[in-house]
Amino acid sequence: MTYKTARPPHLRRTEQASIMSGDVLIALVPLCVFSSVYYGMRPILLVLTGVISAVISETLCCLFMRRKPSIADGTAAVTGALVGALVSPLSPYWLPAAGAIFAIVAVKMPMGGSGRNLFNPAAAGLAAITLCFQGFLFTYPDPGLGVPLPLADNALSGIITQGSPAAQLAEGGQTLYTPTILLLGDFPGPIGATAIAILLAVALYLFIRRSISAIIILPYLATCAMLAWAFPRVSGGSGGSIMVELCSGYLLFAGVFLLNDPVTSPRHWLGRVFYGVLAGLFVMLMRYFGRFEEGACFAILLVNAFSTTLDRLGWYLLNLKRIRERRRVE
Amino acid sequence: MSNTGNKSKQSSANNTKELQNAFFDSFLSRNIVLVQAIGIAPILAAGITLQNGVTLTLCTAAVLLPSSLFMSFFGDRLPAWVRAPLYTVGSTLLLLGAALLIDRFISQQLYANLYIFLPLTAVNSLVSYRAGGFSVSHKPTVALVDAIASSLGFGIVICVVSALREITSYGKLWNIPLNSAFKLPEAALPYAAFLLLGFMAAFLQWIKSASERD
Repeated sequence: MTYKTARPPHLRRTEQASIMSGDVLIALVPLCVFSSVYYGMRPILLVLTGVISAVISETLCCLFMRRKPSIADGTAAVTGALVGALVSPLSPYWLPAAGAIFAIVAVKMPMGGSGRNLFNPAAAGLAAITLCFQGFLFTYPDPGLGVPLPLADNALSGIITQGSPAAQLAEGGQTLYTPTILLLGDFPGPIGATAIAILLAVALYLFIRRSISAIIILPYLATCAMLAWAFPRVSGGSGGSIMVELCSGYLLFAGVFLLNDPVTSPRHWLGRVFYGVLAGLFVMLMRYFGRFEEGACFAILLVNAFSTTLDRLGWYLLNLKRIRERRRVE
Repeated sequence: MSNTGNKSKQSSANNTKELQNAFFDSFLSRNIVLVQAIGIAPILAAGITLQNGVTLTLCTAAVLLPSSLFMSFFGDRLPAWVRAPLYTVGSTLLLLGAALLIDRFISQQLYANLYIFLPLTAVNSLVSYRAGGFSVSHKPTVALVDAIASSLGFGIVICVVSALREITSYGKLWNIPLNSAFKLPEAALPYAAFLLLGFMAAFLQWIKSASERD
């Protein structure tokens, strides 16, 4: 009898990794197009900068490690695109490049490359640029501008900026954004994370393609909603608080794209439920007590560290009876 | 692990060999910080300038050498419950002297920069692990060499980390401006030191595996 050794991630579907990353890249296209309707070509160029720098740095890392380049599975491109989609449309081009390069060079490749990374590279790259360049990352242009943003970095100084819903939440008080505005995505925020309606449609697509798992994202959103209901930060009802908390920042984007990374999330279904709940808890704690208006990337990194433990915990709880019986026999 | 060895102090014939092993064990091949992960806290928080790094190294050595020697001479004659309070009180007294020296005669600014991490050296895991564990079960010469090697192993790591962080975050080295255009003030945050330590640990393992292959 021969065993086939397959490289992780161990997925049920064949031809897994490249199809999954293709799905994620397809899902990111409408989000970028939506942003470019508001801000012109600049958001698309920012995302492409992230993709290109991630792919180039992965190729260089593979050459340095004397390994066959592994860019064909598309995970590097996904990492770069996710970092690019979470920066502000106003950020300079080196910002997504720096995040993507950090993600590949410092987080993904030292752990052994695709399928072996303990932490989500995109979340780590984003965490690095959040810590170092928060001024660039959290300065969002006013979506009501009506004119495309200039493409050159040095022409950006006079653009009117506006506080995002997440920043308003951090300050407290009244929110300007009604549920309709939030659903339509007509508010300042990261490139890919404002179009809430499109994000929901994309999540449905990825769910049908089985690229994301509902048993991670539903407990995650439920936990976030429950905490937003219990501890509202805006005046005017808990319903409005839930809506603003879930739609602001990149909470929903992180749930759809970063949390469902097949490499760093648990495999077992009960482990996945725990994982989603813990992620929601961490994301909301980061919002309530964190230094930044949006700290979901740090929450994702924290919960990634618990992934294996939660997997084992889920398996253990479901097999408790059998394990006890075996102990009794022994 | 060397410190879980037999308690009876063997007088081995191959004395220099043993001392060499004790030295290179704690200094390089099983570096106290990079492999055994001891004494990381001061590196993360206080290792942001080279001056801090050198001062902490000297203070660690000043505390570790006498307490290791003392524990090696008298440790096995004392009951185990006396040892920990004894070397903690002893190292605190030693540090009081060191702190006074720095504050009065060297630089008040340096003393202020080190904040809580100078007094914390007295209860550093490095001191309690080497003085309280290793030294008790070894001969004074071996314990002394191990204390020197541990201090140097800690010192080389904290100096490299703090020099790199000083250059990137303040654009200075030993308080001398370097006129570099690139500055990243966030390198002084603890996560930068975690990253550096991780890469240094991986580099050490890489060198070890490469030397074993040859």
